[in-house]
Parts: sequence; structure tokens; C-alpha cells
Amino acid sequence: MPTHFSLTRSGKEISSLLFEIEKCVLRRGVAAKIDFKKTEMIHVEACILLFSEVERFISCASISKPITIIDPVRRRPREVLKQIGLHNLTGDSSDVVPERPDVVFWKATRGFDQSGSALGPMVKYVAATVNQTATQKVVQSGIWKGVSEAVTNSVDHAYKFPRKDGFVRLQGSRWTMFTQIKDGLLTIAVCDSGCGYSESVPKTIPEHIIGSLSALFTSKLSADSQAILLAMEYGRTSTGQAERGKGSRDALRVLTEHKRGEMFIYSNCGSVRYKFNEASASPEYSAVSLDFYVSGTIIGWILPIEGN
Amino acid sequence: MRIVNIAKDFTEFPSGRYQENGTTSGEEFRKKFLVPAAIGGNETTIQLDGTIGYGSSFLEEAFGGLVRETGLTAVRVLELFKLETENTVLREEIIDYIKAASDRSSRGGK
Repeated sequence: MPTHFSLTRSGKEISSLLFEIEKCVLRRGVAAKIDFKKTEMIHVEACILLFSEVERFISCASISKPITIIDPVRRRPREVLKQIGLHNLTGDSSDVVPERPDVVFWKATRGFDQSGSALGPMVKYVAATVNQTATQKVVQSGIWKGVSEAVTNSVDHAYKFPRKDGFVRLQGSRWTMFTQIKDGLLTIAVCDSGCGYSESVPKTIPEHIIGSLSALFTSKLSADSQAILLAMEYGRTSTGQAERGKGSRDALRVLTEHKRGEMFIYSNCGSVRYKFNEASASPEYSAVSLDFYVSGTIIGWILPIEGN
Repeated sequence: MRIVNIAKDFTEFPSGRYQENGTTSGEEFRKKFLVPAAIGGNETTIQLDGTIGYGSSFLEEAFGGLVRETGLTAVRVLELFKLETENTVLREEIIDYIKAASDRSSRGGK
């Protein structure tokens, strides 16, 4: 178990850990313990993946208590796991009461469909909290556009196509959303355990458009990273041309309306990060191919809310 | 003229495209409010402010979908429905969806 629970620092270890738990719980039918004793730091993108996967393992398991968590020794990560409701998911007890200011603004919610009632109150709460205290306000409607479309995409596409990895499927669609306010940053992330961009893009974007857009990106990237870029570019350029594909444009509008910040997408072995460039007043991307595997898709935004 | 206030009469959290995927979807809103008004030829004011915001899928399915479902032209839809909002970008976005759906329809597409 890595001390820093972060996809950028320990993605390979986390991916291996989740794969081992899946093998244990879903393939061998044996209960697993996740030992967080040495965990010092927990980052949003890794935490939402963990939460989403643990929920999948529990939902798909045939044994009665498939996962037990052993709490971190350090107070802060212990509070974080309690605050996001991991203990409720696994059925473990924890007597820690989250009280640290950098923990109590972690929020988690999950759902099965595109209804705004599961997402809306949390987005409203977090936007109101930021706008009461921060020096840079957030545009609630802009965040809603990005977040609700991320969920819409997950429900519409992520679970409609099979995966190639032998993944034990969830019954129906499922998504998780996390928010965090910490160190002058608002982070929002949405995660699904679906098939990923590389499976859904060829089935949802016309072939001739994939052909023309592919020329814009280097072929050295993994198929997953290329698929993310294709979907984003399709959304950005297809205004008025088709009724679908605008969710990706909405995702980037979170950045352009805030005029600062970053957006990250992890999908299977692909990762693309958009950073708002103040000089060009537009987001610019960097893409990498991961040497580990994210089971599904995570999309998130990191918005600075202090200073300028 | 009838008035529909989306936040009060439908939901504060509009989200999603299809009815089968949730109760706050664009299709649900269209079938509940827009199509009956359009079929009856009733002029209606749609008050858009007061919700948390709108995703593209909701807007396209509600308003573009109205053109696809009823076969009305963009001109007729915009005669029937007055879009009331302080957000001019939102208003333009909806008009774009209506016009795009109407254009596709007149070209014989869906």
C-alpha cells in the first residue's frame, strides 16, 4: 500500500492493489483486507477510484463481507476515509469524527442514473460554500454543466459497451462524485467503472470524423489517450453539427468560465490534462500513456479559488 | 400566455437526456411541458432562471427534440415559446439547438 494514495505518484501500485482485490473477492470468492495503516496522504483522483472500485467489488461479490478496511494510523487520512463514507460501504466501524478543516469539505455522492437530484444539492452546497469564503467565486451553472454532462456521458455510454479486460460488470450504470475544498483549490471529480473512452468513442463518433480528427494527435499515444482527445475535440468542434457530443465541450467550459484551473481525465491506460492558459484564454492539453490501468473513467476539475 | 418556470414547475436540477435515465431529463421536460403546448398551439413563456444550470444534453433533447418530435419549424417554435432568462448565452444556445434540429429536419435528416 503506497504512503501517498495518488495516481500521479503511485498509480501503478494502486492499480495492482485494486486488481489483486478484484482477483481475491470476485474471482476466488475470498474476503480481502485493505490495509491503510501506512497511508499518509489521500488525493481525490485516487480516492474516487478506490471508492468506485470498492463499491463495484462489494456489489458484485457473492460473499457476505467481502472487504474490510484497516484504518490509517495518521489522523488526517483516517478522517478522510470516514468522511467519504468508505466505512459505510464496507460495513466497518470507525470512531473518528472528521473535524479537520481540510477534511470536512470532502463530500461524496453516488447514483445510478442522470437525475439531477443526486448531484444537484452537492454542487449547490459546494458552490455556495466557496462563494461565501473564497476570493475567487465559482460559476455554479458552469460547474453544473460540466459535472451533469460527465454523469450523463457515463450513464449514456460507459456501461453500454463491453470491456475487453475480463472485468466483472456492474448491473446497470453507476457513478460516483467527490468534491474537496483544500489549500485554496476546489476539486470536483466524477468516476465510473465503465468501458472507457477507447471502447465508446468508435461506437459513438462517426468513422469519417474519427479519421479526420485523429490526424491532429500524435499516434505515439495509447489508444485510450487518443480516444479521450478525439472525444474532447469532437465535442469542441461539433457545435450545431450534431445533436450529440457536446458533453466534452461542457467539460472544458468549466475551465473557460472560471478562467483558471485544470481538468484531468483518466480512462483505462490514457490520461489527458487540460490547463487553462491565461494568455490564450483557452485550455491547452498534455496527454500521456499510463503504465497502469484505471478501471473506468475519472474526469475532474481543479479550480483555484484564492488569489489571482 | 401560459408560463412555465422550470425551477418551480419541473426541477431545480435539470440534467440528462432521456426519460429512461432519470426524472429530470430533457425528454421528460419536453413531453411534460413543451409538446402539449406545441400541439395545442399555446403560446408559452419558458422561464429558465432559478435552476442550478443546464447541461447541453438536457437543452438539446428538450428543445431540439421538440423540433424532431413535432416537425415544427424553428420559426414556429420560436413564435410559440418565449425564452425568458437574464443569461443571453443560454438563450442563444437553446436557439442554436432549435435551429440546428430544424435545419437537419429540412435536409431530411433526424
